[in-house]
Parts: sequence; C-alpha cells; structure tokens
Amino acid sequence: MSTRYRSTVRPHVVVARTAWTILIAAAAAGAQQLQPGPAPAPGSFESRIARVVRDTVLANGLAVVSIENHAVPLVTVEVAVRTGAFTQEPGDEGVPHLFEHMLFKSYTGPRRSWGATMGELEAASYNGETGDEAVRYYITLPSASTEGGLRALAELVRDPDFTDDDLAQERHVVFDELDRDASDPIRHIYNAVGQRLWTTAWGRKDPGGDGQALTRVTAKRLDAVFHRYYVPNNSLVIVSGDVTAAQAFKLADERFGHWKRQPDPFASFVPLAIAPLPHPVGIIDQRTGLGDVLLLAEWQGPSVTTDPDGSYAADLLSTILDDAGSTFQARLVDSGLFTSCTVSYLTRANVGPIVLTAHTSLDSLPHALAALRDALQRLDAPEAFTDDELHDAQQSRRVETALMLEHRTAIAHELAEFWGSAGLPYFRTYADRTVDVSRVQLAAFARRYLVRKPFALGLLVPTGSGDRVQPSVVAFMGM
Amino acid sequence: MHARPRPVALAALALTTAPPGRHPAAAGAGRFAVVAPDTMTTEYVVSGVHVIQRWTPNDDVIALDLYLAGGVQQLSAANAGVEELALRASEYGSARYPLTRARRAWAHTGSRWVVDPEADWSMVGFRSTGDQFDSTWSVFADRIVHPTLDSAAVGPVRARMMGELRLRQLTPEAAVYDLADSLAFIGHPYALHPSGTESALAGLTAGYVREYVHDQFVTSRMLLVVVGNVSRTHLERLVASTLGTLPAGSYTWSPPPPVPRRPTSLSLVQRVTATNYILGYFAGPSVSSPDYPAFRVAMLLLSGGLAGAIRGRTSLSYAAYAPYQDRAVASGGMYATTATPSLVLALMRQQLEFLKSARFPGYALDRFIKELTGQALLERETNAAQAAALARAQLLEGNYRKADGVLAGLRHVSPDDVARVAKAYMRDIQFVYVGDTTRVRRDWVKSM
Repeated sequence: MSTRYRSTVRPHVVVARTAWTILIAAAAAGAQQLQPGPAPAPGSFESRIARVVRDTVLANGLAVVSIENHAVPLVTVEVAVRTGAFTQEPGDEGVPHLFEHMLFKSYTGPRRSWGATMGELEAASYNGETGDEAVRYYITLPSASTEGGLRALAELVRDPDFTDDDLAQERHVVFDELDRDASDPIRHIYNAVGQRLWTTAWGRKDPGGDGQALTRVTAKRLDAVFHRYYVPNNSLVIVSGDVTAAQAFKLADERFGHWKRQPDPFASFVPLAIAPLPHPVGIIDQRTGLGDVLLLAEWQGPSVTTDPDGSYAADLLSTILDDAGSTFQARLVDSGLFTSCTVSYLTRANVGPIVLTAHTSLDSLPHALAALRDALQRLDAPEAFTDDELHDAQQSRRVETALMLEHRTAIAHELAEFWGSAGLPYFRTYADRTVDVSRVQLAAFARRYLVRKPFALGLLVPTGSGDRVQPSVVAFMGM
Repeated sequence: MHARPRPVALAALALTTAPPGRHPAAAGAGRFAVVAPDTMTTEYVVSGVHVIQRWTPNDDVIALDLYLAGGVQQLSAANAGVEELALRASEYGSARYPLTRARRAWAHTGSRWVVDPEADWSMVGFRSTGDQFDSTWSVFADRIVHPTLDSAAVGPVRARMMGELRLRQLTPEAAVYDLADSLAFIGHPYALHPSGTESALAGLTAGYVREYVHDQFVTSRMLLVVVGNVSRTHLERLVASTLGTLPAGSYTWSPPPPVPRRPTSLSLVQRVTATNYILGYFAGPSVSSPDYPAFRVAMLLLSGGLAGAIRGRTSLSYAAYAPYQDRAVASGGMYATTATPSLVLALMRQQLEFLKSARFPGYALDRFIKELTGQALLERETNAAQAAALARAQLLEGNYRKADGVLAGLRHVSPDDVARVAKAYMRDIQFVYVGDTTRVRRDWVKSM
C-alpha cells in the first residue's frame, strides 16, 4: 500500500452535475433522490462529463458515483473515506496510514484473506492510499465480477478485526516504507520544507507519520479510529468502467445499503488551524553528493473551502508559468540560469501548498536566485505574462481535461481525492471555472498568496558548499 | 479454498479494438466475452512511411506516436542519448517554426508533446483533441523533418538531460535500478541507457546531433501509429507532404542478440540509507521464443511469491516483488528493500527454488493468467495506450494484430512449462545491493 505524503500533481478533473436520467436509476435502486441542479451549459466540460459521470446518495448517507466506460470489460471499484493526516491527533501521527495497511490485514470476509478474495475475483490490481485529506481503497477487476468487488470492499471497510499480533507484524512493513522515504534526499527535503511551512500543523499534514507514535499504537486505538471515521455518511463509493449507472447504484445499495449511518465524525472535531508563516524560513541540506542545486519553495496557498476562486487561479497560473514558451520560463530557463523551474498547487480544504521546484548549478545559483526573486515579485504585474499566454494556458487545460476524461480509472482516483478535499459540486465545475479565470483574478491571487509573502525554502547543495550559497539564499529570502 | 478454474477466452482482448459502447456486455458471457475481429485498424505505407491507424470515431482525443525502430542498437557508448537529445531539442525550432513562433504555435494547440526513448525504439508524438490535430501536426512534422538543432537548441536540452541524470542518482531507488541494468547486460546493447550518460552527452555537439538526424531519421526506421478520429485520406495527405519527403534509408530491424550469461554475482554499494535496496536481474527469452509466454507467467508467480514471503508472511519489507522488463529480449528480476538483507536473500532463494520445483495446480495458474489478462486490458484504456500496444506488436513481433492477442499464448502455459522456464532463465543473477554493506556477504547469493 502506498502513501501519498505530498504530491506536486494537482487535481485537474471535473465531474458532471447529476443527470436527470440517473435520478430515475437511483430511485430504482432504493437510493435517496437528489434534486436536479440547473442543466449544464451546452459545450461545457460539465455537460460533456454529465454523459458518463453520475452520482447519488444512499439513504445511509453514503455518496455513490458511477463513471461509465465500455471501452474494456473492466471495472474499478473505489471506496474513499474522509480521514487521513488532517484527522491525526497529537500522538497519533501516522495512525490513518497504519490503519490503511491494517485494514487489508484484518479483512474478515469469507475467504479470511484479502489476497485470496482478490484471487477469486481475478482482480487485475488493488491498493490503498493514505493522503492528508482522504484515504482510498480500490480494486480493478473484470466487469462480470463487479458485484464481488463491491462486496469485498464493503466487507473490507465495514468489519475489520484488528489484533495486536497483526499490528506488531504490519508495523514493520510501515517502518520500511518510512525508511525508504528517509533514504531519499529529495523526499527528505520535501519533508523538511513541509515542517517549516506548516509549523505546528505539520503533524496533521504528513500522512507518513512518526515512528514513535506508530510504535505506541494499539489495536484498541485502531478500533476507535475505525468507528469514528469509517461510517457511510463520511464515505464515497465509485464504480468506474464497464457497468451502467443503474447497475452501479443498485449494486452499491445492495452491498453498502445496510451499513448503518453513524454520528457525524466531525461534529466534535477540532478544526485544523494553520498558523500563517510570519516570515520566510529555510534549510540548506549539504549532506548529499549532488553536484548541483535543487531548490524547493512552498507557500501557503488557498483553502478550496474558503477561496475556491483562488484554487482555480492557482492551477491556471501554474499552467502559464510552466509552459515552455512563457515569459517566466524565458527569464529563468531559456536564459540558462535554471535547467528547470516548475510551479504547482495542490487543491486542499485545509490550505493547499503552492510548490516551486527548480534545478540549477552551484555557479549559477546567485544569479538564478536573483532572477527568480525578480520574476516572483512581478507575478501580479501586467508584464508577468501576455494575453496569448493566458489563452494558451486555458487551451492547455481544455486538452488536459479531455485526456483525463478518456482515462476513467485515473478519473476515479482523481474524483476520490477531489471529493475528500473539495466535494463533488466543486469537482463538477472545476474545468469550466479554471478556464474562465481572468487576468485580474490571477493578479489578485498572486498578490494574496505569492508576491512578497512568506515561504519555506529548502536547498539540496553540494557537500561543503553551505557557506558559499548562504549569502545569495539569505538575499533571496529577504525579498 | 480456491476458485474453480474457468476457461478464459483470451481472444476477448480484441475488445479493446471495438468502438466504445459496441462490445457485448460481459455479464453472463464468461469473464471475458469474445467479440468480432478488429475492423477499425488499418495498415498502409505512405511515401515509405509505415502507418498503423486505429479509427475511433467517437473519441475526442487523438494519440499520435512516431517510432524510430532500433533503440539502443543504433547507439554506442559515445553517443548514447543522442536520439532523445535530438527529439527534445527539436522543440526549440524548425524551418517553418523558428523558436518563438514554434513555442507559440504549439502552445495555441494545448497539445501534449511526448518524447519516450526506450531500449528497442525511440518514440516521439503528441496527444491532442480533434479540433487541434491539424495545427499540432503542422508543428510536429516540421520538428521531425526540418529541426533547427543549432547550439541554442541543443545546449540547453543537453544541460537539462545531464542534470536529470545527476538528480536521478540522488535517489537510492533509481541508483539501484540503473546499476543493475548496466551490470546485468554487460556486452549487450541493453547495457546502454537510451538517455545516455553524462560523459556521452557532454560530447554531443549541435553539429553531431544534426548529422545524426540527417543519417538516422529515415522512413525505413519509422512507424507512425495514430489512434483517434482521423480519416485515412487526411492522414495520408499529411504524411506524404512531410515525413514522406525524408530519405528512405536502408534500415531493417534485427532483434538484439541473447544476453551473455555470467555466474551469479552481488555488487555492493555502500551508501548511508535508512533501509537497504536489493535488486537482481536475469535474462529471459526473446519475444519470438516459444518460452516467452511461460516466462511471463513465471515472473508473475515469482512476484506474488516474493510479496507473500517477504512482506505478507514475515513483514521484512514494504516492497518485495519481481520486476519484469518487456523488451525484444525479456528480462526479470527480484527486488526488495529491507533492514534484514540476510533473511530476505534467503527467502528470495527459497522462492526461486519453489518455482523451479513445484507444480502449481492448474486452477492456481489459471487465476494468475486471468490477472495478467486483466492487467493487459487495464493498459489499453486510453488511445495512447492502444497506440503503444499496436506499435509494440508491430515492432517486436512484426504484426500489429498480435497486440490484441499479446497474452493469447498464456492459456497454453502448463505448470511444467513454468518450472522449465524458471530453471532455464532464473539463474546467473546479477545482484546489486545499495545500503549498509556490513550487513551482507557476497557468498550469500552464490547458490542462486
């Protein structure tokens, strides 16, 4: 099972508004009827995906999404639960991740082993992922086994049997997973920057967790976590592939319908509070044998819950800046100062990071940092990018959305992640909103989150070069 | 208790060729339904350029891949990386589209430019939507036919590629894979990495790259694969006036030779890491060998065995599996990260021995074969993935039609076949270990 500690890949897919036709199917499946929203505008992405992506909510509060695609006779069934690092309490850092591992280990279906069940179902693949705002479990299997897949996932998330013996074993698997990350200097610098960016909230941003906390976890504690968050009214089921929406909703209702609704896990939840960075902070790591300089800068960006417009602007601005022909790339990369420089934003409910990653040589670093500082300070100015660049970025987003619509398994994963952070309504209209962002909105976004705003900086530099790079780094941080 | 064996209709892989929504529902028709033969894919030659086209009229996305056959067999230690360098640098301008104009023209389309150098070929292509296809093609074709490739183009890309190679070595995961690749294929073309080495790239001047392109970008090396809603007539016209004007050359594909065998060995690399990385490679059969399907199945069984023994039952590793390299000459391996290398190496040896001596029940084998079939279908979900499958079948097996039956031979694999290929190929393993070398001894692998 893999863990998403942090991704520089931003969610970029939309899902359609519930369609009229599917309301009929949902009703037939015994699901709760939704009120149809206004019809999507013709030609919009929302209307295009309305043809294949449908959703409903079961009587127990479980959200169900169907993504229909008959290109190959396979189905991906996915369950997402709104938990992850953001629900970690002090001393529990890494528990949702360990829990994800343990769920497969503690499976109590008729075969008593998750692997045997998957074998019987002829699953092409299965896995689980723990992020900071959602945990996901998924299976891809022949469409003739859709019912079995839904049954297996329902058994997985509804009735695990945690034992201290299993926990003692699986803990070592998680330790090796954490050790792999600790062995990677690039992962290490990401974590070091993350700690500085999120300060006291780091424990609720890092799904990997803390080895000491993981050592203390008991089966009883896992059970408590399970009963609080693994409830239908905090979960989503996606059925994507060679199955009709009516079939998907009917099967989901049969397999998950009697999962009993529970109290809202967030009723007494202590909201995640993220303190703004008072000033830029940084770390220079000179322990590697790298001959170059790898630079990582992160800003606290928009929360999609409170500033959705900021999240659209963040993604469009990233597309503008990353285009090979952009003014930004011309100044920084074509000039020879950096060999690469990319910007991304991660859509999150609880402050998404804006991440800049750049690569340069030790000799170029002083000039490169000065040019980068200058480019960043101009991001809210009219000359930051041209109208052509803006239009091209919007076109790029259109093509990107078309490519994602073609890849239904990937959509299922993206949709689940979007659901965890932003909810389905945001997801449905995301692509249309992103291509509608104006120059004024982009400038406002840059002013609010980037230009002269505090950031966390990390540099991987050649061994022994720390003193040499420090003056230019300090100058950069003082911008 | 195990599932009862079910017959597999592997011809059903042809499902991937059916237009969306047209194939019969799988329910009630066995696990994989059989459908009509592929009638949407055609093959033709335009001015010396071999074209395979799959028409998918309901799709908005078009995937176009241009393959240059040969891969690392075209390269030497001195110029490894030159094809990737040339293809990436072509983005910096061409005769009709000088740098700024090229960038803007491409950006207007929103299309994705793809460069993917592999051991058996180099691929360059794009992903676009139907309304942008012609505009994208115009820039794409000029990049291939009339690239500028001056020092202003080659210099930055060469620097970037060299930087990428250095960054790659920072991660122990990449380091162990690269080292294992170079050691396992000593004396064989696959020892060269298609992205080259820092020293090779450093010597590649703009003049050399231009000369290489002039000599090597010839139609006899080219295979163009297009999947999407494009008419054949239109595509033929586009190809004839662009790629079709390139010299024919005299290229003919020859499969790489068998990989020279050396006794099992273990190379140790001391590195301060929190866990230790183990990877051992062994050479497999060529794609044309009758052993190929059995080797593919045996690799899946080995992977499952390693995961079960090293992670599932003993919790000695987060990642333990058998990597498989699907190339003209296949290869396989054993991989794990662990704090306890002695125990893991012993379990690897145990799993190998088991595979060589055990007779898997037919139903167990059947289940694994179905898993492989499902994975193959999963890899055909997009037009780009279908283009890749068609090209692989054409370039390695000489017939694109084998793309949809790539796993057809698996149904004939018997338990005896698995044991036989395991004995024949899963030996002479070249291991690499990165981590704390005080925790491992070279003689631990000798019996493998």
